[in-house]
Amino acid sequence: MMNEITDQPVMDSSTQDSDQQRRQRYEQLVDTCYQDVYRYGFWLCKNQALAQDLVQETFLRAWRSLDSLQSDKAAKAWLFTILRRENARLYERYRPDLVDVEDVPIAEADDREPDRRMDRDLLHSAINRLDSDYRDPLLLQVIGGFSGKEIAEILDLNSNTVMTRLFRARSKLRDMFGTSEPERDDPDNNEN
Amino acid sequence: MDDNEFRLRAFSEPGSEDPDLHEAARGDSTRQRLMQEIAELEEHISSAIDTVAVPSGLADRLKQQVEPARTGKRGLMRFFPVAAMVVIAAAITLMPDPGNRPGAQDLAFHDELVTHLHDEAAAYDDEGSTRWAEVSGVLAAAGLAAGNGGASTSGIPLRTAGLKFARHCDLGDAGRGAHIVLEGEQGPVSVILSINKPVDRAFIIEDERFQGRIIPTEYGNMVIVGEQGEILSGYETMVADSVQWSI
Repeated sequence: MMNEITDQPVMDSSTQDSDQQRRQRYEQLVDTCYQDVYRYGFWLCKNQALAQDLVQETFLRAWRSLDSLQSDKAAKAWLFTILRRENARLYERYRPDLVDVEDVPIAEADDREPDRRMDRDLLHSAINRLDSDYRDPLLLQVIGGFSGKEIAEILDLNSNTVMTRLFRARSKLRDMFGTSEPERDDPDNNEN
Repeated sequence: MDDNEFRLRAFSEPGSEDPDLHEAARGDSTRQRLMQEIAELEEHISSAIDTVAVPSGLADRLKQQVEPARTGKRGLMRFFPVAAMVVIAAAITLMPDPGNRPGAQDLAFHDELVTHLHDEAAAYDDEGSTRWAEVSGVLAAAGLAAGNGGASTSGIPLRTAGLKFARHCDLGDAGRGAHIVLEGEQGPVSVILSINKPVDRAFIIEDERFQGRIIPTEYGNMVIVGEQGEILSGYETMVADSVQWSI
């Protein structure tokens, strides 16, 4: 018996399985990482609409090159790297006036206690005032949960530089937040 | 471990379970107090950074954006079912002729626009495609916004409309605007949103190559231009629905 001729694309079952597996892998990636990727994107570009676009571009690129991701354990660092690259491309050409990061909607659960809200607002402002050299590794560590070595790879720095910058970031926040003893000299200066 | 190394490690990795670090703090009340203080600070920092609200529905949008490709039709018309195409055609027929001849200032804008289109055509004719992030950036710089990928009430997100090109546009007297080019049925379709004096009334662009309209808006003008034969009313609706002024 001859096969019926259709105008549908010809796909064998193994191709369909493979496509389905790829899609499932992508969706798992979205479910696992999208919140952290969005938060990191927001802190990088400080604008909700741009952050959403950045995240969408990031995941679109991730989808296209999903096969190049060897281990799902490395997925978050991979996505953060893509997002950083997208953000750099965007801002190399365009620098629109941005909404201040302090205007960002905050998750409701944290908004109930006035003292906590005030602390949070102070810190939002303080983090925003940090030089990006210090803010970047801090965000990667806090949002991404990356180790010093992983941050060094993402930022293309050496590990000692990353540790020094993390030290300085927290020292400055401690000073701005007003709870600290007077700042002492850097214990280590491995910037290069 | 000396004080400098202790401080570096305590500040750079709060919450570290490194036994050397904890051993170095044992029996030293100053170091223990510092570690406690850093732990409290870290709780505040994490709370401040992590409480940024993530937009609802974002995960679904990220999943939907990689849905299998649609049919091979080019241009905006690929998004309309047959019934919708009939409505569009009717709308074109019924659309009132702009009629009265525009004033001198509006004509000057028209001429500047046509010159601009011919100048820019060389750039975007060769352009393959552009990313939504670039389009979004150009819009934002011009005082415009298209959230949710430019989702519109007509259901066609601007980001899916075959984006070819996005550039700042200093057309008119205000020097602020956006020129976006989409892939149409007959060739490129330009969408120009300029912040300048709105024309008195919508009027047709006259040119050998291009056809379209200049339409006054609240803060300036919206221009939709395509090659001869391109049906543009769908683009007018889509852009008007999906882009907002944010100035």
